[in-house]
Amino acid sequence: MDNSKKYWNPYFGGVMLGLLLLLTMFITGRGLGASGAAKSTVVTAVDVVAPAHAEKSAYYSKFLSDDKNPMNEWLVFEVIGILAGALLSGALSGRLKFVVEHSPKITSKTRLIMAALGGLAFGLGSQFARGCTSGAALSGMATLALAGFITMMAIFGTAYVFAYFFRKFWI
Amino acid sequence: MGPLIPLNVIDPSWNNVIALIVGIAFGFILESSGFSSSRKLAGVFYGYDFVVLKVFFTAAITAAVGLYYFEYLGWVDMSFVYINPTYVSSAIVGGVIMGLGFIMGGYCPGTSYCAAAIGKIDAIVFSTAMLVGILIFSEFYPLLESFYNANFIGNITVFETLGMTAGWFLLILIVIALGAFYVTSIIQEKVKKVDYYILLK
Amino acid sequence: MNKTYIILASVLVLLGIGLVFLKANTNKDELNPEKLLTEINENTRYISTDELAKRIIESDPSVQLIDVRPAKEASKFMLQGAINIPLADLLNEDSQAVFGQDGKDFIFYSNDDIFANQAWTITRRLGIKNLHVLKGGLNYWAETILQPVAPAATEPQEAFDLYQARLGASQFFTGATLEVKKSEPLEKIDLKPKTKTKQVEGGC
Repeated sequence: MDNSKKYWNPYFGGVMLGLLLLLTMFITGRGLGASGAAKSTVVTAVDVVAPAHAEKSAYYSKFLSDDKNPMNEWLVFEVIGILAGALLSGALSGRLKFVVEHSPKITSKTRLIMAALGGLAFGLGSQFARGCTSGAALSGMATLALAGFITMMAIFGTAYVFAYFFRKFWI
Repeated sequence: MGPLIPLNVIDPSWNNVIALIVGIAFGFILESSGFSSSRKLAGVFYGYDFVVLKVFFTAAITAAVGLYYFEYLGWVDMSFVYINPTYVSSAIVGGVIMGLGFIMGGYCPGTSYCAAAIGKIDAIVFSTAMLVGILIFSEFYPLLESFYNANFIGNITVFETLGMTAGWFLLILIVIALGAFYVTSIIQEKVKKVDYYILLK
Repeated sequence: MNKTYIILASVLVLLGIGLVFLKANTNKDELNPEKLLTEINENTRYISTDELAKRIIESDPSVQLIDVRPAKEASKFMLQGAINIPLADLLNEDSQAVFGQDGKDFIFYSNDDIFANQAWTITRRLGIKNLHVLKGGLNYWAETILQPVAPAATEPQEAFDLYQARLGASQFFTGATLEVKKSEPLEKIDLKPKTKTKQVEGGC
C-alpha cells in the first residue's frame, strides 16, 4: 500500500516553496522563519512571569520594548499561519490524527523522550545560529548569505555523522 | 521597486496580514510535501526517502535564481534584502547542535509546527521542548555572550567570500543540486523501503 | 530517467547560465540615452523665477534648492534655503545623500542656467527624479525678482499683475536676503543616505 501518492512530488513542492520564499523576500525583504516565534513566546512568558528578571537580562531585553508587545511580531503571525496552513492541508488529505509517530522498534515513550531531547537541542542551537533550518539555512541560502550555507552544512553534516548511532530510532 | 515593505510601497501596517497569508502558504506547502512526518524527514539520513534534500535544495535554488533575476530586472534592490549576519563560530556550533536535534527529534521547528497542527504528539512535545531550549540559552546568555558575538565577519554572501559572481556561484550550485538529485534517486531505489504510513487509515 | 525531469533540469541550467552572462550589465538604474534626450528636449525641467519666488515665500517644504556654483561664489550669496554642491562635487557621497531625501523637488541654479543644466543631466542620468532647473539662473532672478522693471503703459494688464507680484517678492527677498547671508547655510540638515536605512531585521 503506497500512500505516498498523497504527498506532492518533492520537486513540485520545492518549486512552490521557492516561489513563496521569493514572493516573501520581494514583499518584505526577508525570508521565512519558524524558531523566531518560539523565541517571542519565551520572551513573553518570562516577561509575564518575572518582568524584573526579563528587564535585567541581556538577552530578553533585546526583544522587549515599551511600546510593543513581543508577540506582535512578523514571525508570530507567520507561525499562526503555518499551523492553519498545515491543518488545512492535512484535513484535505485526510491526515488529521492524534498519534505518536515512531519506528516499530521503539515504544511511544522512547519516541517522545527523543523528540523532547531533539526539541531542546533545536531550541538551543537555533539561538546560537540566529535562526533555524527555515530562517538561517533555507532563507540564508536563498539570499546566498554565507551564514546560511555554514549553518546548513553544519546541520546536515552533523546529522549524517550521528545518523549511525541513532538508526534504531528510525529504521 | 521591491522589496515592497522596506521601500514603503506597501504600508508596514500590512505586515502582519502578509505574515499570516505567507504562513498559511508555507504550512500548506510543507505539509503537502510530507514534511509533517518525522520518519519521512529522517529518511534523508538513512537513504530511504530524500524528500528533505529535494524540497530544500529545489526551494533554495528557485528562490535564489528568481531573486537574482529580479535584481537584474531592477525589481528588487538587494541592499534592502536581509542577508543573514555571519558569526562563524556560533553559526557552526548552532548548526551542530541543531544537527543533533534533527537526528534525535526528527523535526526542525517549522516542520514540527506542521506536524503538531495535524495531531502528531511527538511534534507537540518537540515544539514545547524547543521553548525550554530557548529558555536555557536565554538564561545562560551572559556566559555565552562573548562566544555568541565572536568571529563576526559581516552580512556577507557566499559568492563574495569565494571571490566569484553571483551568477557563476548559482550555476555551480544548480549543477551540484542536479547531481545530488540524480545520485539520491539511485540510492533511494537500492535502499530498503521503510513503511512509515502505518498510522494512517 | 523521466523525460520531464530532464527537461526541467535543462531549464534550470539554462537559467543559471543566463545569470552568469546577464550579470555583466550593472547599469540598471541609469536612464537610457534615448529617454534622456527626450527629456532634455521637453524643457519641462525648467521652473520660472516667479514660481520659485512664490514657493519660497510660501515656505514650501518640498523645495530643495541646490546651488551648483563653485563654493567661493556661493559663499557670497545663496538663495534662501539653498545648499551648495559645486558641479565638481556632484557625485560625492555627501551629495548623493542629498538626493536620497524623499518627497523633495530638487531645483538646481547657477548664475545662468548652463551649470544647472549640466548638473540636471548628470543626476537625471543616475535615475534621480523630481529634478528641476531655475530658468535663467541667478541673473534672471535678480532681473525679475530683486529689481523688477515696471512695464510700459501700453502693455496688457497681465504684465502689470506680474509686476505687482514681483514687487512684493522683491520686498520679501531684499529684506530677507540680508538675514540669509548672515545665517549659516543650511548644509547641516540631517540628511539620511538612501542605503540600508530601513533594512529589516531577519531571524527565524
